[in-house]
Amino acid sequence: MKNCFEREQLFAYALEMLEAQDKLEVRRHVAECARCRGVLEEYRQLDRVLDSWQQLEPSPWFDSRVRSKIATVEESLPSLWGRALAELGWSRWMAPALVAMMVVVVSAVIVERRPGLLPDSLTHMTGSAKAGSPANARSQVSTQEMAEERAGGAATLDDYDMLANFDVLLELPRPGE
Amino acid sequence: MAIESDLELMLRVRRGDTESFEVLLRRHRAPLVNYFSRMVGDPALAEDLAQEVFLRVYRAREHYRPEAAFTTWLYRIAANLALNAIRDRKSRAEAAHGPLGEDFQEGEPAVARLPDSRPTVEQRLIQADRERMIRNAVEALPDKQRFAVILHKYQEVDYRQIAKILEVSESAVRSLLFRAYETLRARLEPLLAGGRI
Repeated sequence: MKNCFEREQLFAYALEMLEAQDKLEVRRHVAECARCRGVLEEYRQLDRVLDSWQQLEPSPWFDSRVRSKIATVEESLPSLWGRALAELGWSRWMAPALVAMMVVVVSAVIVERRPGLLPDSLTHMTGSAKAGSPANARSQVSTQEMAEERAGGAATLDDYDMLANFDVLLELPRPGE
Repeated sequence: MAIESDLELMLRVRRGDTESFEVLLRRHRAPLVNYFSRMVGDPALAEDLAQEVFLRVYRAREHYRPEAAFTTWLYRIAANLALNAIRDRKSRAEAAHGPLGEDFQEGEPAVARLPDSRPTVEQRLIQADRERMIRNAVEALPDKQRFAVILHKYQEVDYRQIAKILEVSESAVRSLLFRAYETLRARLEPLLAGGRI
């Protein structure tokens, strides 16, 4: 018969994978075409053969094993506090907060050990508060030394040409060499 | 009492209702065990994999979004596990025996069957022989064709849903099934023509 359908189209019809309109067209054709009916029968026969692959029954202990696996996983989960922290997304903001805190602490320690790093106004305030004590005398001396160092350092920093050629200056022969 | 849909049950599981999880477990354990048994050919491994699916469902309960049918989600998990198991098995077999071709098949697994009406020894042998042929023919299909056939034929999953599970188009699923059936028709010719059905 003319206008027979492709095997793939007949297969899709046999397995009910066609849209309504296509299904109708195939049905009309198959009703009149022995060849296409034969192809359809081949697929239906194959489908019946595949049916004879029998099913398995899950073992009687299937459910208890699932429950046991779930219990094991639940036990290995973090504690309530850990989960609460996790839900708050602590790792998102706690880590930067810890770093910031450490920076503050380290800065405080450095300033405490080297009072000269404080601005002069703060140094004078500290000095006037502790005037007369030997420790304060040492502090005043060191503050003065630091101020001198800073003045000298600033002058050096102004000399950009020298800084740019610093490596070259190091390579210059020393007097007496 | 109305039968609750998988989706309703899963939404309850998400809220911490363990009884709803038990209902899902009872409803889907047999189809999943059969799915894996047909995919990997080993009943013991099939049980392990089916249990793993339920474990993953439970662990992912808080993140479950009812965007697709529950079974689509379930079988997507199952398909990934099956594919990994098949690859592992092939890798182990290749490591032991060298590269294996498309027709790679493992030793025949012992198939536990449903209790029947006490068939004769001869009937049992014929049935076992027929199942062996079908299993070998299906197992020899390329992975995606095998997935499509097992999901469509034995799990009764609609081809549109199979497309979502395998993440391919619907026409690709129709094509996969067609090529698979053509191959199976040739391989199972003795059963089709020999009148042993």
